[in-house]
Amino acid sequence: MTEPLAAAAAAPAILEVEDLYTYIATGDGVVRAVDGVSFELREGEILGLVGESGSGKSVTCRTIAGLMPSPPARSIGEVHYAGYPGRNLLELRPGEQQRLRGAHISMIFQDPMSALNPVMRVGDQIEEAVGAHARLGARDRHRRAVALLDRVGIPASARRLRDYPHEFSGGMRQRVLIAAAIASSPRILLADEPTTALDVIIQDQILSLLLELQRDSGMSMILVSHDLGVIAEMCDRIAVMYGGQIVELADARTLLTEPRHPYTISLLRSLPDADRKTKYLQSIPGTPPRLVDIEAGCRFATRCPLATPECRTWETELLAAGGAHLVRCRRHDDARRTEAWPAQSYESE
Amino acid sequence: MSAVNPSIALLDLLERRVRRRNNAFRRRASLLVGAGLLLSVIVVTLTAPLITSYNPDEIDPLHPLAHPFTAGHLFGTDSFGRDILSRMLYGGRVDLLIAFGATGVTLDSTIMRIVDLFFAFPFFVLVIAIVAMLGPSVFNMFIAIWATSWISYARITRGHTLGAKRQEYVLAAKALGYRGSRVMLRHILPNVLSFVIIFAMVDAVGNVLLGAALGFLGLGAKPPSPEWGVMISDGQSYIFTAWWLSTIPGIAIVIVGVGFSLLGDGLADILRAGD
Repeated sequence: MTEPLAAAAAAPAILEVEDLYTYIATGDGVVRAVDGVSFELREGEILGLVGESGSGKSVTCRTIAGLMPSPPARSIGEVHYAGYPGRNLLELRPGEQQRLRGAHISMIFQDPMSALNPVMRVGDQIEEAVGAHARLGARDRHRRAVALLDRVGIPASARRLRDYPHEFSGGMRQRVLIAAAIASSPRILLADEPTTALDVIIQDQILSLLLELQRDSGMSMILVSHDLGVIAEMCDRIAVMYGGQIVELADARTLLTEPRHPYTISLLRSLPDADRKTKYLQSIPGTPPRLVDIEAGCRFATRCPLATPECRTWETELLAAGGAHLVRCRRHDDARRTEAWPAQSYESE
Repeated sequence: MSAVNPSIALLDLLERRVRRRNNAFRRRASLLVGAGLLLSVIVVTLTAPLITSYNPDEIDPLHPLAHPFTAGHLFGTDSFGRDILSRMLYGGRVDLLIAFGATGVTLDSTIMRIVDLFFAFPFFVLVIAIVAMLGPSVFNMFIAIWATSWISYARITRGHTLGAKRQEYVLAAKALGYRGSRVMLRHILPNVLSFVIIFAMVDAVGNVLLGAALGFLGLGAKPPSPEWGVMISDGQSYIFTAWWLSTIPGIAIVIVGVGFSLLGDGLADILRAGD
């Protein structure tokens, strides 16, 4: 982790997201799915977005890729990509956005079972991806498709191109989707829970593959997961999302060893630990906020053991906590001291 | 040394079974039988003048209600002495037109749905008004059936398209930067089309029955012109004395219905992914 970290620290940003808001009109009201998110993705780094379901991580990615349906979703903010200097990706025309996707920014999804077209042969789907942004003859497309399947580790690639998606296992389908996603050599890969639907062994293989591809091509990656374990293994920097906002952002080592936001601390404590004998798994009491009627103050305050009355009125902002470590908590200095936590919240088993 | 490894025998057995199941004819049996049934009905109705020398409307007062297989009348005659075989053959043209007419509209409406996906359908009222204004005639029956079935095709297509659009593979196709038209034509349409084709086959059966029912109720073909439903209707008063008047057109409708169903089944098999 240390080496790519040092390299990434010096690398310029390839993607800058500033004050991104994505609101979605639903029958229940307006869901503030992404509520003021800012971060940068550096050249050649893997940035992790971690948080519970509904914390806004997926919507953030889809907004960047221009994949949120509008209506019902609307976004404002700035998304700048180094390949399109001076342009806000949110303001691209649909045609420009379409040429950007796949060629510059590509995306893979959670459910490999449903992300392939069931009535098209896998080879046709890969070749389609190969030809989407390049003028190639049928033979070149085929050759490139075989090479791509080889690259993502599908055995007997030439023969398997003729198969239909249902003839592939979940892990193999995710490999196919990865092959399609990197077909046009994008500079940014958005991986939205790429291993959540897979079992643990396969999950590990897919993560290794992604890591390998990222190392080889030098592309940048945003990895979305609710699984801190996955994020910890893969990422150079980590952003923790809660209630549509980033609540803590730091390089991976700092965030994992010196977390400062009570939510991050609770998340890390809720991980089962092989070295520590515990009778029960720790959980965070309460439920994540509904993003429809949001009250003022810190969004985690209702579940936070450290919350004070001021927390409920505090207009939250990301505070610097040394170096590039950002925390959205006014008590972050207290939060890292065990004494500050109420006894029972710490040893609740 | 032992004899043949038992697992090889098992493998052999299963491989034979797989081959048998994959046998092209077996797999397409229902398609072929269905297509064969329909094709023979079509050929027979189209070549009607070669098969029968009787005019279907010609009255023969001397030989009313002749039994099947009587001299000159293979299927007998009706109460006016009209030859049932020739009435069947000429009447079949009308019924098949009704069945296939609706099928032909399929592709059209599919494409239209693809073009203006998000339009809603306040057409029902309009259709009812049209049907109410039309008098009973074969042509008006076509119009009414076409107009109403167009709506169900549109709805099926629209429903499945909306379903397909929500599928992750459509999102994935967009994420790879495919043009909108490509996503529509290559990723949404093929996933929708199979439903529409299968429905068209089922619907064709329904249309034959509908045409027959309209005829039976006196809303379809006018009495002198032959049509299977009308023939069943006319024959019902003689059901105890001359059963063949209603039974023969009834059997013909069943044959066409079974033909379309088998054809639809076979097409569904082929259109299913991985065939």
